[in-house]
Amino acid sequence: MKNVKTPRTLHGWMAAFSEGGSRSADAAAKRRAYGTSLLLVVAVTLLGIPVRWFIAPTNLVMLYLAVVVWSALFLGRGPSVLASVLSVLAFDFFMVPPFYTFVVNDSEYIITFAGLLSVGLVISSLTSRVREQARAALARERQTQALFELSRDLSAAGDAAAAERAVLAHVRAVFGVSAVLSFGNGAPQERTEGGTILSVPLGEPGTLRGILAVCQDPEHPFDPARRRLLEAFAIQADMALERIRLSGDARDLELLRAREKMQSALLSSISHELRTPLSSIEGVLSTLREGVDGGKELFRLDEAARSELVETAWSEARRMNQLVENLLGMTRLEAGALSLRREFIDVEELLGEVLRRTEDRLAEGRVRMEIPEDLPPLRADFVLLTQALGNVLDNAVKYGGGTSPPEVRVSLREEDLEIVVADRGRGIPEAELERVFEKFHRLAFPGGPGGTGLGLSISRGIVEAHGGMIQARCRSGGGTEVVIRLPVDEERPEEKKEPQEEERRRT
Amino acid sequence: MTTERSEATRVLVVDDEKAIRRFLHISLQAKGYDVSEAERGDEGLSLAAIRHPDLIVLDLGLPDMDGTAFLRHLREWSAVHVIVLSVRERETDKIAALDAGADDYLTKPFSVGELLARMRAVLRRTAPAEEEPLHRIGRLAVDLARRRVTLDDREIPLTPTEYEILRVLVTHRGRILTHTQILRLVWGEGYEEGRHLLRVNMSNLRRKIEPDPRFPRYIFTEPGVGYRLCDGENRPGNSGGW
Repeated sequence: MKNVKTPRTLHGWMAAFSEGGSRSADAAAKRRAYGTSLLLVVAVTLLGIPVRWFIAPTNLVMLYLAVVVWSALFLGRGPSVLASVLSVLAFDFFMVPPFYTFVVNDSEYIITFAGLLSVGLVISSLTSRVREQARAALARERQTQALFELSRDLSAAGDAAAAERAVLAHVRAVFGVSAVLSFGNGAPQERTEGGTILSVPLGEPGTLRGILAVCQDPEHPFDPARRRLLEAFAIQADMALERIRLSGDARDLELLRAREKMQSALLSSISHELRTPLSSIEGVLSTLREGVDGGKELFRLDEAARSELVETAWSEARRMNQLVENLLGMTRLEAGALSLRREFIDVEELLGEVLRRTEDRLAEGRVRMEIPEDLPPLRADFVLLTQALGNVLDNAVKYGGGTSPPEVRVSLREEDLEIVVADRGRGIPEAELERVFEKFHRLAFPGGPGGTGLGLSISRGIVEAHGGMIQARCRSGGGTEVVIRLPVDEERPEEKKEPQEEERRRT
Repeated sequence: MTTERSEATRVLVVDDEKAIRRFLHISLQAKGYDVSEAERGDEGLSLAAIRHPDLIVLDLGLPDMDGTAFLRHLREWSAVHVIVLSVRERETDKIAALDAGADDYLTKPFSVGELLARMRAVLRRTAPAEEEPLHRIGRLAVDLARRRVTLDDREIPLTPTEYEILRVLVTHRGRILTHTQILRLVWGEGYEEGRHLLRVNMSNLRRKIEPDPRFPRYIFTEPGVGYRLCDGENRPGNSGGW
């Protein structure tokens, strides 16, 4: 907890605020103060007895006055009043002739007595008022300090739980009692420990948000000052919690806004991508249709033109299908609806299928493959991995520049199977290497091949769902390498004993 | 065309999408098939009972019943060939349909060329040529009578299991067989879970009969579903993916 060090500085305040705990100590201190003032009067008297023959009593009275002032300054009102009265009596008894009797020869001394007594009383009441004010100022300062420290910790608290921890720690440190914050209805019933519960509301009565409850000692209930401080604590806690709630709301709102913005960007991107092939198809169909409108030819299309048009529409339709598939794939990945149908698959068979799928964009055998024999089987979803690798290879073909065939290298690295798809294309700028796997992120260069920017992000989703990783890096000598690592299961397929071959012959 | 009506192969298309029904109707009819249509599963079942089609093209996403339920009902009284249509990402549906008795599947969207090739492959089974012991697939020849396999007239030595796999694929030439079906046909009941056996043997078999096992020309992988044997040169367009 971050408040570990605060209680040390707060220990002093505990004494200031918790009168209950130190009542007997206070009484002892009071007794000591009265004793001190008594001793002082005795001391001054003993000092005065030997010199009373040479010094006039009116001057000796100054010594008593000094005791009264000193008592008022340092011992409080009571001891100084005591000192005043004792001084008058001692002065009369020991210093004013005739000695050792309260009888006074010269009635002028009555004025001295009255002066000494009234000066003593006035000074003691004045100084004790100053002392009280100083004490109150100190208490206020300590309260302010306590509130300041609480609010400092509260403003550092990032969430409601941290704020609650801070409040409870400060209450324990400042008041020396354990506290509970409860939200919703009902005061907490637990942790009473035989004491009575003092609870202060968080928020106004109309909009009560919760309760700060402390367990107080029934012998020494909280005085109004401590109660006020506790209320101030509650207000601070409430404000902090409200602030946290509001900032949470604001963050949610911002997220929501960002998501909406993203969604509308996606939507416009998708509809653009869908509309492009669709308008080609519509264009082709309308040309073919209008060409033979109402049985009579409006314009003549020769066979070559017709088949070219149809071919265009056909490839555009396939492109649309590809896009829709990618979108569906993305949706499933994002919805977490991707369930892997894992089975032991042959890496060679997998790559064969990947190459076959890329075939129409690739003259057969135009991929250079390095694949070692006797690779362990991979426990993976064949269909999804085909898609993941297919997208990567697609990119290698699309962005590969066409001068040098893409390469596929397979190797075993420690526990992983590593598949590297490399091309000699124009490469990916360093800053974009990570971003190419982001959704809808496409490298922008003029005249580049079309695409949706979904392929690689789908690949990443699939590879990661398999517990693997995918990265792009610059290839030395130019071009790009996409590295895919997939974990190879330690556990091999259980080699079920094959039945005797001879028995299985069916002739 | 109308005079040959009784001779024409009867095809029943069961699909709830009107555009698909229409386009199939037109293209299949142009190819000389006698086409009837059903929009719903129950309608399809009763049409199948009334018209005794030779082949049913069945969409797996029907509004009133799912494809496997249709197949289960159908298989109670009919052995008619069925080609199912489904969207890409539903491998499990395809396998379920194939294991429930469908002969083949096509992934939407598909071209008529693909459909016709699948239909021919499926219908070939009923033709008498089925009984012929010698099968030629490209440069590959399989003589079922003498249990001999040759590639370019050079005999290929196969283990009994490899031969059995090839035999099963050859007799279902052009059609897809699910992993389970192959396992059951080659190893017998109780081996349906032995996928790795099939994988290992298939890999060895391909090494022996494929000119380049990385670019299969004869035995094709149907991702996540099974295998299909056909001549690579005439193989219909690709399928698989999501």
